[in-house]
Amino acid sequence: MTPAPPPAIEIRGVTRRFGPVRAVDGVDLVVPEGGVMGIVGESGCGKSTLARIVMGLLPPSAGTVLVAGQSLASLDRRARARLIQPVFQDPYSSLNPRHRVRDIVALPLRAQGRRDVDAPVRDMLARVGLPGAMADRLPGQLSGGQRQRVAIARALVGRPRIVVCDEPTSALDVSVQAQILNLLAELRAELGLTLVFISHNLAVVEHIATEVAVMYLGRIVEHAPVEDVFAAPRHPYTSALLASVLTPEPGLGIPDSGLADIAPDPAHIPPGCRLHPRCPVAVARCAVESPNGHRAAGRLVECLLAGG
Amino acid sequence: MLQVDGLRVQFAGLEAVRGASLHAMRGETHGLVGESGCGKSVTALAVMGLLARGATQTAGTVRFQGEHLVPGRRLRSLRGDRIGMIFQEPMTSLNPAYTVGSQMTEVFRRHRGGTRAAAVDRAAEMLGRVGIAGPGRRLGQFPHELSGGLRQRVMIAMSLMCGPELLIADEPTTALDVTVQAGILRLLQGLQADMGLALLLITHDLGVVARTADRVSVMYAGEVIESGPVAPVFARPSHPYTRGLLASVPVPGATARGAPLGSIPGTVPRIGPGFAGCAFRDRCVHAQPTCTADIPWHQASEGHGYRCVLPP
Repeated sequence: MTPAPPPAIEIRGVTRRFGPVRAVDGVDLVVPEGGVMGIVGESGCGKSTLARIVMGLLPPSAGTVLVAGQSLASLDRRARARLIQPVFQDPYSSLNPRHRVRDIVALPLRAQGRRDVDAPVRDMLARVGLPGAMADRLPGQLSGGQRQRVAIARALVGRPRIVVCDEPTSALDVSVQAQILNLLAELRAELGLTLVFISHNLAVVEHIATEVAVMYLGRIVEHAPVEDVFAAPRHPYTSALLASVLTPEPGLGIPDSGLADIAPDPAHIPPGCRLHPRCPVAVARCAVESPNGHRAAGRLVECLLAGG
Repeated sequence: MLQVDGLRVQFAGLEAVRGASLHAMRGETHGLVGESGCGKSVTALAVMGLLARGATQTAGTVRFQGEHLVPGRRLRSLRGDRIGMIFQEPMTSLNPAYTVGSQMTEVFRRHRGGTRAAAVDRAAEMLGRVGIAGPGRRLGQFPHELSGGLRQRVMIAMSLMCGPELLIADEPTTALDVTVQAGILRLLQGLQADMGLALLLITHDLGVVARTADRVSVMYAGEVIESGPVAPVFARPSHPYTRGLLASVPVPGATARGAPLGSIPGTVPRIGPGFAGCAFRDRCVHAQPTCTADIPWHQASEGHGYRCVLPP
């Protein structure tokens, strides 16, 4: 019997400090091969820092990241780029405004020392739904949706196994967001990609992800398959986030998240459970006992009160 | 309270707004929704007489309580007084160099005069009204010392200083986290009910409109293409663009997971002077030869209309 292949990504005890700020604070997470890991949370929760660590753009202060079984820290830039590619929120600032689309998309191939770039670039532009005539345009001549297609083509042209998308549709209008989400889902199935999809938008994550990790003040406080999280959230913060989604359904009114309106501050992480000052169900021990590693219903739920 | 008729605005040789009409009644929220570049914010700026240099209103009227508004001294005196405004990013609309208290009292005293002490009392009262604990302490703070949600509450409190009758809010919760957004929207709704405000709420977010507005107008390429009470518009959208827009929003529990979302092919056209017919026709699956002529305004139901050649 051959041993099971290693997971696409394995994050072990990763912490990242910026001075007094603990942006990521002891994260463990396994992303299975071919899965779509949605990472959700609000501003300052550390999701983008975690994304940059996984992309290899930022070293962790502690802990390790394994990509396809290999330590990310041990890989050089080329090897890393062959395995893992990023797609960022704002395709305007992440695309060189003075390079034509064909050169932007060809760059990862040239960086790998490949010369025969024309055919793969043409093929990839067609796959992301950009007409051939776009190849000679500059980013400034494209719409936001087209620019994001270019960013996706650039990420995929070297056939990486993993793509890390940091808020890839947050700057886009809803109708364009739908086009990009459909494209990502299609390409993922076609190319057998593993996706890490970071977003503040729960509805988007619900739609595209297979698993969800909810972050709050640097930690993953709940992690489970997407259907479990949405059907029965177990962490009070997950429940609050879900309750706050404003679906386009008139007559339902404006929900109350139940959270106290205190801005989370990663420079002053509360002791005990980090949510306790805002939590609607907190009891005295939540202020002193750490819920780190707590499990309930067969999954990670970092809440002392979650049983079962 | 507010009545806009046939508003047209030109900007850089393009038709940014092409005959927009809408109204907001006392105690009512009118949601103006659309994607970037549809003209919703330009419409709001025109209403307030705050169009950027280079943008000109070429047709249409704006009435506030029956009074015809034109840019100038009169509108300047109404703005911040009987017409309040809230913008998306409170950090850019609050002056970082002045304390919350000095900005709030400055607005009040400019319009209403009175002593500084009276203005400070009023400011503290309004901060309390928007749910800010310890208003006395907040008055002495600078905008950067506050969280995004608190800054937006301060903006709202400031817009209410003079007891406005009309509030215009342009993407008031777009820069905020979802859990904070709900709180701000609930606050706006409560204030509106208590004070009988007319609220013109401009947003790209269909969820925000559905949950807060009484009426909605959907804009596309400078035109209001559908308008009506929120319940029938969301339940039975009649314009193909409104339908496409609603289908593109994933709704947990309702949208099939893994199945493609509805999407609208193509991109929004740029509309120059002299354009005739429906601006959506190049992206529309129902397009027909008559779409290049004048488009009728059809009535779908009581108060619910749309601009399209398709019959109800």
